[in-house]
Parts: sequence; structure tokens; C-alpha cells
Amino acid sequence: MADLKKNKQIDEILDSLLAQYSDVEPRSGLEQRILANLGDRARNETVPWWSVKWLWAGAAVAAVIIVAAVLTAGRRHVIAPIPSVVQTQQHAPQQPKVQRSLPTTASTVRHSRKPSVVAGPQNTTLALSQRPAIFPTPTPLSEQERLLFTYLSNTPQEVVVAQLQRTDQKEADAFWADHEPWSITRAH
Amino acid sequence: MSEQAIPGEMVLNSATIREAAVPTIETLVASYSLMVFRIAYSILRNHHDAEDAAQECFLRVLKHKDHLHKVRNVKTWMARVAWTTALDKRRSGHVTVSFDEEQTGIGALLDLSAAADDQLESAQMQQLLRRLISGLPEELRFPLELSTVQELNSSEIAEIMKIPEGSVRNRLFRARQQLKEKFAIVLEGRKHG
Repeated sequence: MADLKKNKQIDEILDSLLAQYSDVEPRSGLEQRILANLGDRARNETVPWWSVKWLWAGAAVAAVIIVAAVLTAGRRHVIAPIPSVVQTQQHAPQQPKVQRSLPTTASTVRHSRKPSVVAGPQNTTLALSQRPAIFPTPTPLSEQERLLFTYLSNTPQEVVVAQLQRTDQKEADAFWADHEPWSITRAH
Repeated sequence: MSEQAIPGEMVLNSATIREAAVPTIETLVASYSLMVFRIAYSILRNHHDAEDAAQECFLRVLKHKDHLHKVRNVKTWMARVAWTTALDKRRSGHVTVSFDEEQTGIGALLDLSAAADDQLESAQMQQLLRRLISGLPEELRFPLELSTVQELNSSEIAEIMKIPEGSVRNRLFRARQQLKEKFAIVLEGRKHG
């Protein structure tokens, strides 16, 4: 009997405690806070998925166009300046000196070529206008060459030939005189 | 066409979907925010964490608002979302108050009761009950926690937990039995000083 009473008492206590266990009221304004939070989240996600997709597609197309433009421009630059480099080096004797004075590493060589490539169109026009008609380019005569040329033009051809033969004979005698063994052998 | 999974997994075939008007988020908040809060509170035992869980619960609902028309029973679906959200929050460890399972032994309970006056205050009794419940195994604790939420009956708890209603009743009975046994020990301890 006492056990039953005790059991009933415990049941009552437990029921009352369990009834209160989750019977709680939230702080006032829970609905408003939840709705405000949902509104914030919804505003942050207002950008629809398809617009993001189009943004990516647009960026990809722009990248392709830029790459194509860069490749095309690069090809033009590479083809056009080649003759200008050759021509400007011929008519501007100062430029090779500068190039020779620089250290001959790959980076400097590439760097030294760059200005001629960049200033390509102007140099090409200048070089083509000053291009010589005869190759190789004629250079002024030296002093000795000028004297020889004057002598040959003023002296008759027979005299020049005779003098050449005389000079040759003298050189041959001098040669045989220097070679003693041969002269001994010939004497024997 | 395959059905897309949504929280609570209470998705039915299109043939069984009711033609009722699809509830809006505002309607759901107005109707179920208190229930969601109490379910979260029954698990987390903290106002702040329960409110965070309620916010998270409605955010999950918002993510799947396009599938709300597939939900058969909105109340149990909301309750399941709240329950899973609160459980996730408790498992993640981001809760303000965590249950100390080691303190749920009888010795700790005796200490608590010995320290109390002849008339135990309600707060102390609630603390005692919380410790007793946290000492229960999960299969008994979960239905008991849900049963303490006044808005839910055993059939709804069965639907939330995806178990038969008979299992829910059985587990609730066993949970109460274990609680009573522990209470009896505590009361005996009080009697003997």
C-alpha cells in the first residue's frame, strides 16, 4: 500500500516536471527576428543563378577575345620588324657598338632587339628610302689606294708590265740567294 | 522524374499531394515558430541556442521553399526539421550549455538532493530531471524529449522519428520507468539524510 502511494507520488512529480520541461516561452519578438533574418538572407541571395551563369559565360567570351587579339597583334609585330632590324643596323653604325658593349646574355639580346621592334614602322621607312643601289656599299679609297690608282692611270701599260717583270725577277733572285743548299746543289 | 530530397524527407508522390494552397514562409513562421522553438529547447536546454536553432530551421525551410507543395503534413515536417536542426547543433558542439554525462550518476543525484532543503525548489527539480533525462540512452531520450513539447502527440513523434507509433509508446514507457527508478533512489537518499 505504501509502495503504491509512493509510486503514485513519484508519477505525479514526474508528470509535473515533464510538463514544465519544455513549456517555455521564447523572448518576445521571436517571429519578427526570424522574419528579419530570413529577409536578410533572401536579399543576399537575390542574384539569381542564371545571372551568375551568364556572368561566367561573358567572362569566358571576353577572355577568349582578349587572347585572340593578343595573339594576332603579336604575330603582326613579329613579322613586320624583321627587315627593319637588318636595314637599321646597316645604316646606323652606332647601334652595333651599343649592342656589342652590352653583355651577351639571352635577356639582354632580347632586350636590345625590343626598341627596333617597337620603332619598326619609322625605321623601315627610313631604311627603304636610303637603300643603296649597289651591293656591297662603296667605301672611299685609302691614301695608298688613291696613289696607286693615280700611278696606274698616268703610266703606260707596257711600262707597268715591264716594271712588274723586273720586280718579279729581283724577288726570284733574292729568294734563290737566301736558299743556300739549293744553290750548292745546282752548282754541283 | 526523381523527387528532390528536402529536410525531413517527408516527400510524397505527386499523386498523393494535396491540392491545398502552398504555405508561405511568413505563414509557417507565424504558425510554427513557437513549436520549433520548444522542440529546439527540449534538446538544447538553452534559450539562446534554441532561438539560433529556430532561425536555422526556418533558413533550411527557405532553401526548399520551392518544394513546399510536396509536403503532406506541414506540422510534422516542420517538427522534424526543427528536431534534426537542434540535434545537428547539439552534435556540432556549438551550444552554450552541454550536458555533463558523468554527473548523471546516482552519487551526483544524491549530492544534489542532500544539498536541497526539505522542499526542493522547482529549479532544482528541473535540474535534477534534466540530468536524469540526459543520462538516458538516445533511443529513449529522443522520444521523451519530443513528448515534453505539448504540441506533439505520440503519432506525430513517430512520424518525426520515422518509427512506428507503438515503438514510441514503448520507448516512452521505458523512459518513464527508468526516470521513476532514479527518482525513487533520490527520494530514498533524501529520507536517510
